[in-house]
Amino acid sequence: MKRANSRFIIGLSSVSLCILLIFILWAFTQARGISNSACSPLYSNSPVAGNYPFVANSGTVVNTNAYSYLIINLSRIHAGDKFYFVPSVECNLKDVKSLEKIEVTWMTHNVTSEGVALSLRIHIPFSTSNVNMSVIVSQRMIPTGVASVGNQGSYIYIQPEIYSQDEVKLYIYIGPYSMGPAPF
Amino acid sequence: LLSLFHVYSQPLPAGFSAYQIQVGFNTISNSAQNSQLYVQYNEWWYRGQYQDSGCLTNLNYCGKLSDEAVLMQGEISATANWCEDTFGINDPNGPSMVVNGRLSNPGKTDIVTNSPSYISPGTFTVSVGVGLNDAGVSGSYSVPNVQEELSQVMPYTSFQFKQALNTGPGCNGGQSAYYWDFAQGLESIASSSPWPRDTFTHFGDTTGHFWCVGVLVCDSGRYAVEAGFYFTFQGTG
Repeated sequence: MKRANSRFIIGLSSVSLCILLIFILWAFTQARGISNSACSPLYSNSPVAGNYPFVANSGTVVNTNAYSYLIINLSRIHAGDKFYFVPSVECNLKDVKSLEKIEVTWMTHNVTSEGVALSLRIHIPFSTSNVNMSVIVSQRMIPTGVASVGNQGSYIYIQPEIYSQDEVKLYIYIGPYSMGPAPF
Repeated sequence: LLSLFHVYSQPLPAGFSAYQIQVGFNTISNSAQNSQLYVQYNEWWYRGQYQDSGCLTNLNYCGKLSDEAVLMQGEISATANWCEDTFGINDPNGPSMVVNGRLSNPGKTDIVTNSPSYISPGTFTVSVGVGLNDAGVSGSYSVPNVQEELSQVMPYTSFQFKQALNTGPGCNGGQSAYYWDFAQGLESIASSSPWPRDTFTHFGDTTGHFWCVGVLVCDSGRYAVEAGFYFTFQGTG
């Protein structure tokens, strides 16, 4: 009887030990899972929504952050042209939690001795806001416009760069205040 | 009733000449709450040898006008059920305007002038005409209380300038509008061209902190709207 009890206790201990090991393993994998999914930006590899004759290319540069862009052919775009764009979105933002479409209106551009002077307007439906920007951009001057989106620390960044003699690369992305310019 | 004509694009502030220099103008505006809240940030940038010092009276700037100068100006306005916030420079949400200067190459580009560096608190009335060479916004604004604070990390690497334009008790019916201006002279190691040798980035922005006087019709009691620029001068190496 005593031996049977001992076997029962040993068996019970083994089962308990197995359950404990399984629990530790589960907790470990859960912890790893949380760590792996901590923070990844949302982005599309084709952020331009629709087909436009003036868009030469588009994509997203991803390092730690994501920076969506498109390349605009200046000889093909005209004042008043519009296009839809899905900017990349950094994680952990309170105002923007998913990819959202914005409307960009090309107001004008002129080639001057200082560089390319261009103006554009961005309508952001999900925050019922509008951003207007007018800048001069050249190989040596890169302006990055920053505007708040919503009321809880999210910002849209707009950064035009000279890409070639007849093309401008336009970054548009959404992130926190500290995100800063896209990589040059 | 306040009526505003926002500065959108102007070629040069008065006092600047395009002779043997690089000069330009960037502007960004941001409107929210169905355009009831509006902020605008403008910057004139300048690079080259114009004169060692001078005043741009319409920007309230006196200081260095050679090498780089970044002249910043902003505007905030509220209409309908909104007013500018009233907690002053220590507003827990932030004051009316903040310029945060961050220069990316400490020791190679220096801040040599901030102007104005201080304005005594008090009644602040501004009237600026509109013309192609004017730097100000149109309108006339009486603000019963102005508070300003400039803090700069020496030597030269960063600064923060805050300005609180407070409506006070006069904004019971909503609608308010103000402008601010601030200018800065920078100096970097020269190169053979009219460009700095080393790349650097300058940042400035303006923020409107607003409060709603019609609680039942506004989405939120307080709202912040912000706009600004990082501006990178690529060095010649």
